[in-house]
Amino acid sequence: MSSVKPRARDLGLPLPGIPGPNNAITDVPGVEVGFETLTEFATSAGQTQICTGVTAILPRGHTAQPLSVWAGQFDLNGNGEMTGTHWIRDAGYFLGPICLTNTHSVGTVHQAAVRFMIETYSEYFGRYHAWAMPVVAETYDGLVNDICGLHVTEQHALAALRGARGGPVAEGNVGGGAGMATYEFKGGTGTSSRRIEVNGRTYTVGVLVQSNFGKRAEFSVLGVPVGRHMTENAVLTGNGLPEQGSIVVIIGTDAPLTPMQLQRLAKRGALGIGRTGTSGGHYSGDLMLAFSVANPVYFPAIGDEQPHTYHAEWLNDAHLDAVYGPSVQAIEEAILNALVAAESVPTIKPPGETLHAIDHAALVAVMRRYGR
Amino acid sequence: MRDKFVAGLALVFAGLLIQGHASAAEKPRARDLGVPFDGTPGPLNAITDVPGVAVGFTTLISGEPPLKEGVGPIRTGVTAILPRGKSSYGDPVFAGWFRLNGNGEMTGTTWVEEGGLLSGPVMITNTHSVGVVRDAVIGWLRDRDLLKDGNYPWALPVVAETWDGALNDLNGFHVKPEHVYAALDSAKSGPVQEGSVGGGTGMVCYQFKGGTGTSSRVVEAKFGGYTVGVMVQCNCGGYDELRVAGVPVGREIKRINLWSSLKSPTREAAMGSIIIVVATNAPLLPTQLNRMARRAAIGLARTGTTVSDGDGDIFVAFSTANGGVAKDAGYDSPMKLRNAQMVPNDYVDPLFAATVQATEEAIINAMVAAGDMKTLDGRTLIGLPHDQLRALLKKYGRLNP
Repeated sequence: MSSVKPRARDLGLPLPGIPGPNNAITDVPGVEVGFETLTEFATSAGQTQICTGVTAILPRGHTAQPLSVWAGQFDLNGNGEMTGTHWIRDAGYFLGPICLTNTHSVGTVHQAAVRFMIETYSEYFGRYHAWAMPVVAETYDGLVNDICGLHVTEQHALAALRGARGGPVAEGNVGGGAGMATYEFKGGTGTSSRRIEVNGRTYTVGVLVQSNFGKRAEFSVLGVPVGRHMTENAVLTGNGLPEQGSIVVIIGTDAPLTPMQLQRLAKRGALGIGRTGTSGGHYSGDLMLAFSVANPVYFPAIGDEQPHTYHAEWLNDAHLDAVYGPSVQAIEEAILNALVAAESVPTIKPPGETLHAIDHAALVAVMRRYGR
Repeated sequence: MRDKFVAGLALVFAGLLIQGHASAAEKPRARDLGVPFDGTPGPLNAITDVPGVAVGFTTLISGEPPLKEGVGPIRTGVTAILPRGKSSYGDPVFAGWFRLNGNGEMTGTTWVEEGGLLSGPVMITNTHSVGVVRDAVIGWLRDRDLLKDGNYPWALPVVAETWDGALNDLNGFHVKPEHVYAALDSAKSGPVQEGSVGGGTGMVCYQFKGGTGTSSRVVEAKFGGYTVGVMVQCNCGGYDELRVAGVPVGREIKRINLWSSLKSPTREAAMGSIIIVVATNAPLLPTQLNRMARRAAIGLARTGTTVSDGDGDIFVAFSTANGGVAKDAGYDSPMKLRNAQMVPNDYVDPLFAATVQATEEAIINAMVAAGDMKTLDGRTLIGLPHDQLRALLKKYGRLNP
């Protein structure tokens, strides 16, 4: 399905950098992604409409050994939720999956992720003293989804988690991104990756976004002020509503980075978003998380044998720019991929309108006009 | 479902009676035992001395050891703290927070940090029930029509946790949405239960039975006469570390060591967490409330802990003053400026001292009220023995007459 759909690159957009084979976060070795998408469109006025879901990212895939990943986190604007960040900020690592869903289903998905961790790492949780603090983040899909109906169940989240796999990643109206809007076009889930070369060694940085932000007038593609030209069907602007979205940016890499370096990488998430034109609205929860699968370390649970020291390798700070630039490029491309893959859906708040997907031909025409 | 839950509640009460717990009013509190605390408490010596603050609990106690996952024993619950009671959801309070050690969860802090606002209740439960409690808060708000008509259409609830896996079938996920609704529905002002209640039911503090505790302070009239109220869910501290009014009680009272069989290189038994909620009616701005939240760490330190790697010690502070100031203005109304009041920084020290004092007392209150409880492997974790505590205070010249 996803291989048939054109992606931003397929439209001829001159996106910089060299992507990995899938141009997806799964190009980072071991990373797996799963989705559960719930859609039940209203056929008459007043009927409940469900358009939401769960995205699951397993930084180390379906491994039975509880290996943490190193991580760093950054909030550009904190009108949102990402659980698990207290320990990431203090200790620089986390164990378990990353899940993305709608704002009001964070709790349900959190409990499902705890259950998944207890199942997956049964000895760790069964034999020793251990507690789960999974990462669950959200954006708000109330424009097209009955978010207060709390339709996501633990089973949905478990299906996304258990179904996670490597390879090509679906984009647009899938998983947690099912009901999202971006620059008042239909948005959603997008991904991209870059190959990085540092002193003759090759690494990958992969990005996955749940994209739900932006006012149309600010929309910009590779420097072209597209939003000024494509003004039709802007559902928020047209109804006098403020920008009310958010974006969650997940950056994975196999480059060996320390938590401090990953925190700095997470800040680059803001730059990737900024390239698409937004000024970061008050209502936005723009939350970034960066992790590295390098330096796999088993932190034993309390009660298990504890090693005295660990050894890790990390990039010289002088080479970090080789990671930053491609990461910013991949974030920009992931957002565009989410837009290009998305499909129009009817709105419920305001009722009876349509959240339109971006018209590929119209976008290409504007880009052409600016010589891009 | 509802009937089943009511039946469950009846069982809970029966369980409490069997265990011989006295009612909250009859139980001695730490100062009744002669612990010499600093400062002047409010009339209830509870977080509810801050006008408007309401507290509710659901306590789940059933089954007996040994552990049978998914069945029990169940020793857990939910605590709800509503800054402005049940009636004014759309009127956020100014808030601040502090993470002393982040091996834990408190949802909603991203917005508290960004906006300096707290828009709903503060909930406390066990580590693996944070999720169910969070979404149940949203369900409760929705059912009361609070997520529309001028309010934000979304909610980012504050839900914190500590780990009760030594006494409770934590991985059995026994907290359900109806328990959350019951805690919220039962929230009220007035005296507050302590010890093995609500989210604190299955907690361990300095290897005595821990749990829920509260205390308050009133600052002098020349500093505004404001009240500071503190509520803790206490599950932290090492075996030898406990100090009560400076007296090294932890070293002197013999009891089981829950973790003695563990291969752990870290300080023996220093495993746990504490959630501290600080409330005041003093008009403080979010920056001042961040500073107040940090003072909770100082109050905690007075009880002896040096804070382990495994601690999730996360604190939130809020002010009920400045009502209406932070209400959503509505996007299309013409902008009108609002006036907020603040205590001048030269006058905040008495409020900080009150926070430290009330935090210390709330922790000791939790331990004094908790009583004994069986561990999952059938051993008895004792509550802080009142007579031994008094004897030690006397020995070290610290017993209040």
